Amino acid sequence: MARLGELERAVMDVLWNTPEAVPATRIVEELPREHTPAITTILTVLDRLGAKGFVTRERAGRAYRYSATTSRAELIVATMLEALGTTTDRRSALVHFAGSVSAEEQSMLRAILNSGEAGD
Amino acid sequence: MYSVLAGALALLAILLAWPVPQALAGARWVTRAPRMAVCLWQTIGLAGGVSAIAALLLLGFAPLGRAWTLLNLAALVLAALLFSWLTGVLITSAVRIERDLRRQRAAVDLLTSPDVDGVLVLEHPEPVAYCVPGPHPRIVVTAGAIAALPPDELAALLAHERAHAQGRHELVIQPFVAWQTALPFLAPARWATAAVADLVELLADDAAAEATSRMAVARALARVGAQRSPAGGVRTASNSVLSRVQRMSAPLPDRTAGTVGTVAGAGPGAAAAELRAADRAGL
Repeated sequence: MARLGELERAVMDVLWNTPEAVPATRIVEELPREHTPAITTILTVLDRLGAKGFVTRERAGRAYRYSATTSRAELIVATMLEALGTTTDRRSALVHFAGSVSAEEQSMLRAILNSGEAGD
Repeated sequence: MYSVLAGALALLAILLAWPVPQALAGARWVTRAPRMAVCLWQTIGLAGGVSAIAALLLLGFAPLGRAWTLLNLAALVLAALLFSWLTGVLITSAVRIERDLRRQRAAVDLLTSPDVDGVLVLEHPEPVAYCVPGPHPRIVVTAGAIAALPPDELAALLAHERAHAQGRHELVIQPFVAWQTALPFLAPARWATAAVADLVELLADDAAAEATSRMAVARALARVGAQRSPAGGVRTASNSVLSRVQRMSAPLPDRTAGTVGTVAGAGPGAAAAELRAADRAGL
């Protein structure tokens, strides 16, 4: 299971680093040498990534060409926004360390840190 | 006899629907006993729903006069509607939240590889930390948070998130979110959700203070709060981060003498009170 997760990350890294859609065989070539899995394994991984919405494929002749649906940077931003609950008004089940902070609150927090009231 | 009982239950339901949550939302002691306060909110929510449905059922099965009237039928139909609405919203809300969480888990698992502590580091400059809850919880910290915090404060932040994960706080909050969705016209449902969301933060702060120190928690909170990009335009319910910093900086309440920290007063109570004021202004 952990191995499959690692492979998914490795495959996504290949797709994020190649601007154009690529066939699965090319992905196998691009993978780091230490894990050169069978092509069937890569196809399974690509199916799983497709089901999760991270990968799309298009037919090219007899095979498929795969590409990432978003860039890595875009996915990071989307994940963060969702985690912070700014994309929807409903409360997310994710509990984060410091919730939304108003500008006045921030200046008071800075004052506390500078005055050393909360420590030192 | 039945109608007396039904009346008593209806009265209880009304009390639990407004005056009791209003009193708890304004109570100051909650910041000193957050666990107790969470239990009370849960009791109010559960007992309120049960008493309302039970009152309607009793009214439905017990004829007021001799004959079974349309009123009885209406009460039974209402009881059935209320029950199925409340359980239905609870289930759909749980399903929706689980779907959101699955997407989060998939994304963070792709974007990060766990470090030795099982903490996932997201490459983003904004200092943020959160917990993706579940049977196999993920604690996500941004590179910005790691860069911003000295080691003891980072430890406090991680202990806070672990407390959320281990306490399954998402399961505490979820029914209140559902309750609020199910009864959008009932302001106390909103106060309850806001109060419980703040209270679990206090629980996690306390756990983090136990694992590290109150000072480390206070400073980590202040630092992360001060460096976050402010919620532009979004009306925040309260200065909840500020009040948490003050709560952690205040001397521990002396339980034996029964005196209480006065600085720590502004917590979930203040949040709920402000929401209440906003409700009134909106009316």
